[in-house]
This record gives sequence, structure tokens and C-alpha cells, in this order.
Amino acid sequence: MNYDAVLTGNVHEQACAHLLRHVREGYRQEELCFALWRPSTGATRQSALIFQIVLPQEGERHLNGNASFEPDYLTRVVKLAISRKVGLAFMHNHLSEGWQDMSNPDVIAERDRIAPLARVSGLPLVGMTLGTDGAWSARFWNWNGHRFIRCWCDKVRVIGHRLQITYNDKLLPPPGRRRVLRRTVDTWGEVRQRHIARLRVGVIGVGSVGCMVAEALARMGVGSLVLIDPDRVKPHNLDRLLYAVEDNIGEYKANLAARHLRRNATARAFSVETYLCSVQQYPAYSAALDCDVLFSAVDRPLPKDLINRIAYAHCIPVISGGIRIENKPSGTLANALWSVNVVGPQRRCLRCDGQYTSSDVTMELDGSLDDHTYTRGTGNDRAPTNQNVFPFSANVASFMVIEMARLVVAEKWWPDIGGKQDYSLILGRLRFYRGKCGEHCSITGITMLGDHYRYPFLVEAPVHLKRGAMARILGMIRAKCITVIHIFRWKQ
Amino acid sequence: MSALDLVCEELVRLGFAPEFLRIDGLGGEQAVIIDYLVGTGQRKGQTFKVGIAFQEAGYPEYPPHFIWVAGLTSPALPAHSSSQHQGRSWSAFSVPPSDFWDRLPPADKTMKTYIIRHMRRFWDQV
Repeated sequence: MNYDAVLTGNVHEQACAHLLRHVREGYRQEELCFALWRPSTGATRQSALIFQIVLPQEGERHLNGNASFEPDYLTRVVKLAISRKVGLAFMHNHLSEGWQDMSNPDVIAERDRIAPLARVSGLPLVGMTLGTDGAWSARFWNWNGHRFIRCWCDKVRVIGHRLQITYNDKLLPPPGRRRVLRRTVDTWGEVRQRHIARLRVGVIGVGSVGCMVAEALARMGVGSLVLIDPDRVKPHNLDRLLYAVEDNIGEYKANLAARHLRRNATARAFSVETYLCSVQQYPAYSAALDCDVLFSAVDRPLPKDLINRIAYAHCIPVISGGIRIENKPSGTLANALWSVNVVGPQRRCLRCDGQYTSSDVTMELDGSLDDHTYTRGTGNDRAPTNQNVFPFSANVASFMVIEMARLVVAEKWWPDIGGKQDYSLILGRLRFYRGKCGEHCSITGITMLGDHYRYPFLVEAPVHLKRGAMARILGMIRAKCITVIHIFRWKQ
Repeated sequence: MSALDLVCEELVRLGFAPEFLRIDGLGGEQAVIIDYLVGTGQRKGQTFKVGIAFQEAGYPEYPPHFIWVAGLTSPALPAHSSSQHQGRSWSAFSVPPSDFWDRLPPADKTMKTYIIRHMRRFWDQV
């Protein structure tokens, strides 16, 4: 199991304001506080979603260069964690930059003083350290029946208008510079490329758009991809689906893409996993929760709804793209519009953006969504349409990947351009929007709930679709071997 | 509490006596049947057996979709499908409350809102 911790931009800012206030005033003074977290469990990753900072009250902590706390503070926060059925996190800062190791007093405080009480909540203590540059490091203190074992996180993610990730270089070593990526590295620099290379990115829907997204990611040097799509190549896909030729008809789209991506990828240690089922089926759903960024290239309301909810409940940024073609009655083109949304905490959700309604989800579930002859004229004609052309898909895919690059490579001073952009072919106009969710949006209400939120329509995959399981296990073994090799190289 | 129990409880609170019905082929696996006295439209004053169909999970976040009505045909609103059950001819009408349901405060996503705001306008249409 891999571990990581996640904060929203707002929680991160609040924690920084408290923990770094002395440093920002020019003093070499450490600071501490507690926080609450909920678990988000994927197939191979346990994430701690830090959703609330619990600041010390008067007299609950002492500052003398180092920082210490009174037992009353710990007791108060443990009671709070138990009453809310959530976990306890302990945060303090160090006076240096980057990923932080632990001093002996740090270990004793977390392992011997806090972890035993935190365990009463039913969840392990998550210890977090903040560097002066705002970089987090984190570890879980798991009880193995005899003692507390420190399990280091391999990264900490902050999801705001940028995706700020601090990596644990010992567990996720930065890749060495590669000649094939020279032009890419020259574009945004070595540091940003190291971030991109260590991302785990999911592409849900490997059709005409998703396939090109995956190709772009593989060429950019992303090291780990997850492809989720239950569909096979059909003859009518050949005019838009990258890689597909007549010989591929009948092959799973995800498998076809994975085969070509392994050949085209530029990362030193590239891995791609395929899930030949819908994202609402369990193996694929769990794999999606392992990702740092998700691309949604689906047009059905049900997977769109689930992906939308993953973005908030599990705090994984989703980049969603869609194309709408409008035809005249004569069959000629009236307009083509494509849009890209970046979805997640502090941004407008796909449902509030009008991309689907809960009723559309219900209609897909009861099988009536595609019944065009009936739904037309009743005001319910919201079924996805399928017209499309290769360059339209290429344009959307390009916009989507650029949005991910913006999330990862953006500097603090880059303006927030909002969560949505759309392009009108006829008007030749690209517009940007910054929107908020509606006042009563129930999806923002599930932000950071993690495993505490259960999507009602998740299903187990049929047995025949689990045939990729062995490949996944082999992939995981391969990934571990690569990590070991990296650690070996790093130690040398 | 299951969606079925929740829907039934809310309908009882509104004064209905709901019964559960499962009819294959009416677009929606299950429905709760009530006797509904129409208060508006052409059929004002008539009482119909009305079924509210919903998913087994998800209510109230995901609203009911089909409304089944026994012994009703309407030229204004075509039925999605029809079926014979318990000696009655049932028609299923696809009328999701998609225009307002997602914007409701969570506390208002109830059968009371569904009946007052949505069911009434359905009877205005048919």
C-alpha cells in the first residue's frame, strides 16, 4: 500500500498562516497544531484527506524555539475526532525547505505521545511537517499489533488553483534527464518535468479524445497511466480513433491504446494499466482513486456524475472535455462547440455547469436515455450525440492536456483563468469562465468526505472483465521493481 | 434506510397509503403506488392509481423518473410504454424533474416537493 496526504488550497493556506507565521515575521520559531482527516482508499493507495485545522487555544501550546503542547489540547482534539468518526493529524513546521525528515524528538512526540491516543479514533495518526517553502511531508503511524510503524507517504498533494505536490524522493525518486525529453524539459524546466514524470494520471474513456490525451501524456513523460474503458473498436471509430485500423476492430480500445503508448512513451520507467470496464465498476473505480489527476472523456451522465463526485469527495482534480455538434435539418453543420472543465474543490462542478442532471443519471440507469424516438419533443432530449471529426477531438484533447500542464507547471503568480473554457467553431471564439456551484449544490457538500461518501451506483465488474487482473498484478510488481532499482541507484 | 422505505415514509406523512409494485417493462424497476386525487388540469377531481418509479438506491439525491398511471392515455404526452398488471392498464410517462431537483436545498428533496411542485404540473400537461 502507498500512502499520501491531501489538502485543499484553503486548508493549506490556513495551515501555512498558522505554522509559518513566526517564520514569515523573521523569527526562527517552530509552531504546531492538530488537524482532522478522512481516509480515501484506492486499489494501492491510502490517502489522508486533511479537511480541518484545529488551532490551539490560549495556553494549549508553548513556544520556545521548539513548540510543545499541553495534554488538554491533544485530549480535546481526540474527542473531536472520535465524535466525528475521523482521524487525527499532527502538524508542525521545520525551518528548512522541501521534504522533511524527522528528528528524534519529533519521532518520540508522534509515535509515543500522540499515536496511541489518536488510534482510539479507529484511524492511525498522520504526522505532517511543513517546510518554510510551503512543502509538506507526511507519514502514517500504523499499529501492527505490537508497536507503531512509521509508513512514509510518497507525496503530499495540495489541490488549489494549482496542483502543488511535494514528493518523497526516497520513495518516488525523480527520473534522470533523458535526451528524448530535451525539448519538453527546455520548455518548463527540470523541476516541473520531475513533477510531471511522477504523476499517476487516469484517462477515463479511451475513445477519440481520451486516446489522444493518453498519447500526449505519454509523450510528455508522464510515468504512470491508468486507462479505463469498457468499449471495443468498431468500424465507425476508425475515422477518429488514434492507432485504430481495420485489423483492430473488436479489440478493447484501452488495450489498443496501451500497446501503442508503451512504444511511444518517453518516461524512463513508463507503466500503463488498463481496466476493461466502466469506471462505476469496482476495480476501475478503485484504480481511479489511485490517480493524482483524472481525465474524463466520457459522454454518458452516469460515469460523468461519478467522476464529478470523485473530484470533490476524494479531492482528485478532474479535467473533463466534451464536444457538441449541432446540425441543421438538412444534415449540414450548424455549429461545433467543445469545452474543457477543470473540476474539484473551489471550482464549479460539472452538474452545476449544466453538463448533466441527476435525472439524466436516473434515465441512463433505467435504460431510457437513448430512447430518442420517445424523448424527443418531451423536453428530455438530453441523450449524448455521437457526431464528431478527428480534428475536433484533437483540439479538445490538446486543450485538456494543456489544462493539466497548467495545473502542474503554473507558478504562483500565474492568473487563475477559471475552471472552464469553450470554443465555438463557427464564431472562432475561445472563451474562459470562472463559475461557482449553486447555493445548494450537494456535490460541493461531499468535498473531502473520502470513503465516508458512498456512490449509490457502484457495481462489481463481471468476472470476464477482470481478466486484466493478472496484468495489473504484474504491473504492480514491475512498478515496485522499478522503485527498488531507483532507490538502489539513488543510494549509489 | 432504503430508498423504498424513505419514499413510503414521506408519502405516509403526506397522508397517502403507498403500496409497493414491481412491473417489468415499464422503464424503471419498482414503483410506489398511491391513490392520487387530481387537483388541476382537465382531469381535476378524478382519482387515479399513480406509481412513482425510482432507483433502488440514490433517492433523494437522484429523483424519481417515470410516473405510472393506471387507465390514462393522453394525446398531449405520449407514454413511454404500457403494461397490464393487476387487471389494470398502466402507462409509464417519462417526466423527470430535471429542471429544478438539483437546485433544491437537501432538506427540500422530498416527496412533498415532488408531489406539490412536479406531480401537479404533470397533470396540467396530460
